[in-house]
Amino acid sequence: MTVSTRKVNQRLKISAKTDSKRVHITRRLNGWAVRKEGNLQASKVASTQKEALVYAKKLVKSGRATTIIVHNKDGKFRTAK
Amino acid sequence: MPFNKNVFINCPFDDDYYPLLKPLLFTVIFCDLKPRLSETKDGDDIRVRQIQDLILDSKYSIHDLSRILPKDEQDLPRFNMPFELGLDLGCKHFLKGVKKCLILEEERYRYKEVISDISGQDISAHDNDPVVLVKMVRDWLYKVKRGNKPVAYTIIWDLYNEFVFDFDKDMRAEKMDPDKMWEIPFSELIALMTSWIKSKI
Repeated sequence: MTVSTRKVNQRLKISAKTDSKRVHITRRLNGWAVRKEGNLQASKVASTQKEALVYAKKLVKSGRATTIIVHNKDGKFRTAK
Repeated sequence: MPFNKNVFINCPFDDDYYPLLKPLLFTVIFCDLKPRLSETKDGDDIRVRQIQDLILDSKYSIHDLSRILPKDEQDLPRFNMPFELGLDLGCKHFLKGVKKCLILEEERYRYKEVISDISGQDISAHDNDPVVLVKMVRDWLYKVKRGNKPVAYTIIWDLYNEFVFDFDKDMRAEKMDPDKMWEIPFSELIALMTSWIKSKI
């Protein structure tokens, strides 16, 4: 490993163990899942991304999450407000 | 590296295939196996000999034939993937079925028109969808590996997405461009994924 990759590796080990209050919206074969970081199972699987986003926003509003990350099919993501 | 843990990955190594290759590698690592790619092999040995060594050292192999056709009229077909599949099937025959291989395609029956001799093998179509790919690879590995308690493909897919987020964040923190992650050698990318998974679960 190069020096910089080694540093990324150290950060990744910490990131993997740190379950923040992020909520991830990911694609499913049958819809869109909403999953809080630290949980293995999704809290909800909605039929559309829009519906999943509405649910995730409720989690933020109630204080159970702070940030929403929406992942697309090709491995890109965006932060939703 | 023990034969029983190695998975030879025969696929294209270009930007176009990257959205499928990353979750493929992640799934293999998550299933407690070690991906082996010709790119991860060091030294100046003749390429075909390196590939033969990787095939001989790997109990499992995954061959993706979804990119064998020319991209456009000026392009030529890509024979490396079917060639390496042939080498692996030959090795599997002479090792009397010890080796297990999965063949991936883009469409379900397209292979019958271009390489019908592979009929009867484990062949699955991923339709260029990474979620389908993760499910297929996970299902196949648990079928041929046995022993381990299966983890749902949705858990692997969700954790892969979380890894992508952490990777992006941590690359930026080190002033590296995550969009250029293909510039990292595959051996290092595999090491980073392995570290993250081990710390996570």
